[in-house]
Amino acid sequence: MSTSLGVWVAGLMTIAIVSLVWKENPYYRVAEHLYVGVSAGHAVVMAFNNIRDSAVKPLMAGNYLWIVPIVLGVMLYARYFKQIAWYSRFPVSVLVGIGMGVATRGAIHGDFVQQISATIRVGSLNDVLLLLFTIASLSYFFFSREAKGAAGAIPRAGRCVLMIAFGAAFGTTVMGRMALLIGRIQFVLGEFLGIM
Amino acid sequence: MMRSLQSIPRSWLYVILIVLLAWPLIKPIGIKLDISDETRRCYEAIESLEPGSVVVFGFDYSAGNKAEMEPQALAVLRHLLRRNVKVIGLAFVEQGPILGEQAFQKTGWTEKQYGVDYINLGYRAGGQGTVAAFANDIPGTFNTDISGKPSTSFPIMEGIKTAADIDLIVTIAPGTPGPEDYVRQVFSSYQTPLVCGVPAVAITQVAPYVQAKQIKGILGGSPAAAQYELLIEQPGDAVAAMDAQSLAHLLIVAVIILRNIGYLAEKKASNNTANPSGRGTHS
Repeated sequence: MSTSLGVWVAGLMTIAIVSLVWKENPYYRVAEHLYVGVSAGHAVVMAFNNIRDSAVKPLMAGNYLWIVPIVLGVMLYARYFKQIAWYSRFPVSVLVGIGMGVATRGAIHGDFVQQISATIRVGSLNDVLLLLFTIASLSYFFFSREAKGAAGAIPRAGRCVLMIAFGAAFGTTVMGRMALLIGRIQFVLGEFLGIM
Repeated sequence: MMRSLQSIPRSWLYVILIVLLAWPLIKPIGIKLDISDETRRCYEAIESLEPGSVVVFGFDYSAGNKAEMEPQALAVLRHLLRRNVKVIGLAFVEQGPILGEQAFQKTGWTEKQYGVDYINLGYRAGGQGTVAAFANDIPGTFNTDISGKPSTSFPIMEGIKTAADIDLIVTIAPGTPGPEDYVRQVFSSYQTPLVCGVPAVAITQVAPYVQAKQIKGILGGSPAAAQYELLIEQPGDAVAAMDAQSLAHLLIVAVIILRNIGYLAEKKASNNTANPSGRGTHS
């Protein structure tokens, strides 16, 4: 069994969290609130360090342009004061504008051009299936005109493809959740109790 | 009897599951593990690196998904250590730097020279926008290391300006920022080879990028970590976990079958109660 205080705390917290599967209890509640609190506290410290290293330090070193994002950042908090709340719209608009610009530029090339060119490049049976399934799946979301008769078979096939994809995603989700539980059991049996 | 299968208490199922998971961890069964093409592609991408190459390693996971992601990170870091390359660790997730420190320690990187063979540049906020900034100006975006020292003061950062100066990017990321952001902001502009580790649930989401050759290979969930451990001939926690994973899946399949038998038995019994003569009600 471990002699480290940190391992004991982690081990007991793990058992407290897992105890929820039996029934709701105060130990679970304590562990849950501690986890949320510690995560939030850690995030605040990391955010503070981020501002210090990315903005304040360069500003102190003479890079006065950094005053712009710092002022915009402070303006975000204006929303908590009714009379000057509208100030916060400036940094929000800058954030949205830059975010949209960066995301659109990357998405057009990475998600559209390269993805489409890879899908239509047919060289093997797999590629043919990928192309057919992509067209069928997309046709399921075409609502401008109702597909009747033989044409209706394409969106129906698309629905089947989507169901297979969702099934695969659900199966891997179960596997992922098991991996998380196995990780904690490995920790409790290994590092904490030392029986592994 | 059959109908009672419908009402197996949930808490008992969890207890059976936990016992079933713990047993093979204490007494391994050794169920055979095949190596997937995706895992092999990741391995080959790292195996093809020349000694002295520079690899950026994104510790983009947190404590909540550490159990699934860390085995992947450890296996890849062990392989990188063997390849004698230089590793620049960084994170776009708050908890990444501290988990990166742990990973460097567990894999023996800390025996190498900090700042020369490896470095931890810490965390930068901002998501996809910061990934774009990183691609265009690495020392400008990560201007300090985890301890607050200027990143450019370390020899490993000499000659590193943009993503074009990087030989390979590895990101272990369960969410965003993750592989998609690296593809959009780094690969699209600089064609820097990219390898990623994702949780099992995200495999279908990232697979199209591999198909389009935007990502060289993906490690999906704990099976990929186990396969990678076998490829580098250093079986560890991930390999040990695969027996438990297989038994858990068998239990889930068994419970689904049992519950369905219970459901059908209950349906049959309720039909018999409503129509004891067994005759149809049609006139």
